[in-house]
Amino acid sequence: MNAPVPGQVTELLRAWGEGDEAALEQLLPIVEAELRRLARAYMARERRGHTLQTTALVNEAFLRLADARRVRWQDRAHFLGISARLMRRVLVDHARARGYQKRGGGAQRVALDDAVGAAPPLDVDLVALDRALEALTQVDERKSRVIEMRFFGGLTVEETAEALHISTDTVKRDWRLAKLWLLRELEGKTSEHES
Amino acid sequence: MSTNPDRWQRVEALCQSALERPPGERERFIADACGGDEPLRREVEALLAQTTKAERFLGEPFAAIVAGVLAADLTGRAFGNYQVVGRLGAGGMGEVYRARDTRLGREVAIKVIPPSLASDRDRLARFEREARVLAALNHPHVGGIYGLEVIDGAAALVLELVEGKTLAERIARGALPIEEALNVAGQIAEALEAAHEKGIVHRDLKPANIKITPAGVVKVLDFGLARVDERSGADLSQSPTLTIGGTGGGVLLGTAAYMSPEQARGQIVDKRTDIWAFGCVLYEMLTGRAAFSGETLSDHLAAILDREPDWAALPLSTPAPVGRLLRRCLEKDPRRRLHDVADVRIEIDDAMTTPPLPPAPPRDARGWRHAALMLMSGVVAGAALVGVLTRALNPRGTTPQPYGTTRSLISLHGANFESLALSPDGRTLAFIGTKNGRSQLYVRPLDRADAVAMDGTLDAYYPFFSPDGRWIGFNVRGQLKKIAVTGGAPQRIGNPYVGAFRGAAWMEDGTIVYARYSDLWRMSVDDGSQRLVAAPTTSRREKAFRWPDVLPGGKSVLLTVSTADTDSWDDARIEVLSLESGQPRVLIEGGTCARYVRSGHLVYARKGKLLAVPFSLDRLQVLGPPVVVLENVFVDRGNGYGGFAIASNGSIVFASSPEKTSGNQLWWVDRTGKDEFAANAGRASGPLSLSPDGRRAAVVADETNATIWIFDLVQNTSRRFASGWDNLGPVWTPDGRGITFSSTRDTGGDYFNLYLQSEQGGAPAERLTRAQRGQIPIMWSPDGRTLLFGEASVTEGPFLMLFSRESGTITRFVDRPTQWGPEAAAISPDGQWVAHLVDDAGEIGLHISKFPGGHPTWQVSDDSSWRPRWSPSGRELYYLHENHMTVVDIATTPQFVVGKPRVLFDAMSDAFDMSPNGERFLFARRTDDRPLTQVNLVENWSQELTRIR
Repeated sequence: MNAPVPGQVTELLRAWGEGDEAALEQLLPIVEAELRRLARAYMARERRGHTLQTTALVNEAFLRLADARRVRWQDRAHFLGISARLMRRVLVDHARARGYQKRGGGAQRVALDDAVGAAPPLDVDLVALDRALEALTQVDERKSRVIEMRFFGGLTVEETAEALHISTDTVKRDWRLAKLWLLRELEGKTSEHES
Repeated sequence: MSTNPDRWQRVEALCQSALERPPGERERFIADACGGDEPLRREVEALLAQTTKAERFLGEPFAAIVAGVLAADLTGRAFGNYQVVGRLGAGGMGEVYRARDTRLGREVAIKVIPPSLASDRDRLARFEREARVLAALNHPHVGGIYGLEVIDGAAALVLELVEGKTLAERIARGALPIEEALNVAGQIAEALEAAHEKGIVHRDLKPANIKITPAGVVKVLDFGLARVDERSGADLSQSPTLTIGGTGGGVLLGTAAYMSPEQARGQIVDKRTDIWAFGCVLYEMLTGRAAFSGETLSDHLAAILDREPDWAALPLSTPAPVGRLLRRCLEKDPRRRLHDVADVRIEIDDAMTTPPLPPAPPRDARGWRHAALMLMSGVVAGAALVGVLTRALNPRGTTPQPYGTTRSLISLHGANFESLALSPDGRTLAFIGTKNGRSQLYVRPLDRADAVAMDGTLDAYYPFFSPDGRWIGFNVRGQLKKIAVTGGAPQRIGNPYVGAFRGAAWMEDGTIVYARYSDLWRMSVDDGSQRLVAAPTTSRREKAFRWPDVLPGGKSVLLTVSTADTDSWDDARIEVLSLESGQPRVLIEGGTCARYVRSGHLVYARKGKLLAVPFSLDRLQVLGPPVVVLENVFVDRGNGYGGFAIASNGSIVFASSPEKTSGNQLWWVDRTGKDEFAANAGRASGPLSLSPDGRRAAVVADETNATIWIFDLVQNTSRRFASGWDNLGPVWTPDGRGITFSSTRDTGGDYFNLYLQSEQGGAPAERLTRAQRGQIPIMWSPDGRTLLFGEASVTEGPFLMLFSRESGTITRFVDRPTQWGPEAAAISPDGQWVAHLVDDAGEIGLHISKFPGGHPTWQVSDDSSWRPRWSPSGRELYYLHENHMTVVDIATTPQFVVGKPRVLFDAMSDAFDMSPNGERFLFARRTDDRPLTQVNLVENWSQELTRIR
């Protein structure tokens, strides 16, 4: 199953890069469908030769969706950004679903170590993290994006810098401060909850 | 928390400046900088207070997890030799699946080990050793451990599949009659006795770990796993039931009901702990309730340590020896407890032979012994399977061969083979292996005993050597990189993004010719500049250029070309391409991954064999017919990669393909989940569509190209129905004479449009649609006049559409997006309704809408249910929910009513169709390759080629 129309994805990526949010809404479902399809295909047919890494999926998805001969470096950066957002959504939804399933609605902590894969167990309440990230977006959107890309998208410092048009130093500084901010936000929420 | 942007900027600036300073100076700095603005100071301090915690926070990206989530659970997949057919549940340690051992043809249970353990090399090694010991425990009342499989970083225990209910489930229905309880207890005691004789302590004996098969045979499960899964450093680590998850915070996960006092104290445990637990289990069987319990964890522990069970709860008819036995098992001081489970067994024997108050039922009180003897002969396979764990790591001795060649086996340092390269002088092997789920580059000088894992090369793929043999190039995360053979930090080669990397050749002039998905590029190692060398030409029906190799002189490259007509990489073409003109020329039809050998031959892979053909470098021509030179060479069926490399000195390394798999299979499964083999399906794996008479199935085979095959299930024959470019989504016409499908044959591989062809072939396929969109058939209306299909464009959809056979017009069925694929919908047998998926901005659900108008519409489920199929009566709807085949009653008149969904069985894959009478389903099931943990080296191999002229 090939992706619907290469080429137009490139155009949508550019439109989004130029600030057209509607383009993003059109892109997300296409990218997600492609990522899911590829994830399944990798498991089924190339799993021997490939570790199922998100970045590999994203890169392959990009190649399949974008028109390889007309694409520019920035297009890929935008694509990485979109993928990171998607990953966040997929994971938070998953965590939410599992949390509800396990605790009958009162989701608190959800470790994702049950996902079959080589990931270490994560002691992070993804649902709470997602909410904290939303709050951070209100305060400092760029920092929220940096967390999204690095943590959820698995992007390197360099890739994040490319995607956000900022220097690698800025990425590192944003990353550092955003983590402090989030931890404080999460801590605040926990104590509120308990009191 | 500050939300004012100016204020936040100040807070941030202060934090950043403070962080630049040594920790000791920060407080002072902040106090000075805030100049008395207390709220500001507090806010900065509060953030900085998180510094230590922040170091570890979000330290591991979700990269690996998200992929797992995306690909959902294991059902329907192959795990090594094991085809996972369904989920059994979540056990103490991990998810448990039912699987079929395709090699030994039996059903097993697979327990997936938590990634936290699987990814920890030391713990996994310990786990392996323990599993080996446990596998030696062969006993009719012990659930066997067959082995441990580690594949792609996921590890799983392969266990005997024990059918039946657990003792916990049995007790939940009430206390057991005394004879039954003693019968079960006797079998448990036998199991413990056998284990204790081998020095194995169960440590987590409880009713949930004890199963009773339909024949009444008791099986004790999870022997000794408690210990191997224990987490070091945790309190109460002797008890798995308390420490699973290790989440801390005093969360009690699982139950501590069967924990012995010494376990509760965190002391060393031995077999007497099992005797305690045995007492608890026997007590619970006789009374229907736990021997010790408490509202809270501490209350619970107090009961274990200080309180006596409620002895009055035992039935009056309990034989005196049994009461005595219980007291001696539940003695708090282990020194005063019964020491030996053999004594337990003797007591039970006594109790059963001295008749209790009510007369014994007809069931033979010693039935479990007979059952044991009968089973004894059958349970022998466990030990043999441990070999799975240990094979491979020992290179065999070398054997002299004709032509002065030397053959040897090279172990891959415990990694699973991915790809390899050999240095030009033939002395150094570079390979990519996966361990713990991550691939990595390893370098093995062939005169040394072991390989070195290269730092900084995680996720590397497809290595290649520099001409001087000092560097190894590889692809990682969309980058080309190089690393010195001697080690050191990997360096980036240029900036361009190189994803879907499909092989490279490093040339003498310092450029690298590489394949990216389908195109061939040439990049300068020095400055990273690059240009496109060649790309497939649609008019020549080319699809992809891959696996380049440079010919001596550096003016031409060999490459593998797949075309619209290449249904398998065995049918791809070997071409030679001039780097100057960019012009390709066909050398060989049928093969992949060609390499030039200095003996004057081309060597390439086809159908798992290596073939050699004499080749003229001057004329760039093949000089004779190919000859098979090696058998069983690994070729990736998915992307055409050949697992071999040849050095300039004539040595070859190659990975042997695993034992032949029989290919995919078709299975009938009835409503109860009972399955029956239907046919071998070769490479076809679905989706599939059954003909209206239920005798034939059209199935998609997805390898190089997607092709459609027809399997005659009665005559047991198969033939290829549609090929060329990609062909998907076969759907039979209601009269059974034609098949509608989707193909890119007329759009140069870009768009899937709809086609209709007679099932018998003959006349060419009729093109039904012309659209710059992806379209895929779903189902014809019963009258054959309207085709329901899915259509997606980049900007919209996918949507369900209707194609009118008479007018050729296309209309949208419902306005809400669905998923693209034949699994999205089904028309009811009376042609009045469509069950369809809605996937609208994250809102997912199964809906039923009136056909053809689309109104009214009702929602059937609001979860990820898919692949709907109507029963012939139209009163039931079948669908997959996760991997469960589910059925729900549907009434459409006088009003719309949806019943309660019932799970029928766990589906073996998501490719299925329903038989015309609605009584069974045909599934396509995939088989998969097994891991390779060694490669073969033949030194001086090219000598063998010199006889080929």
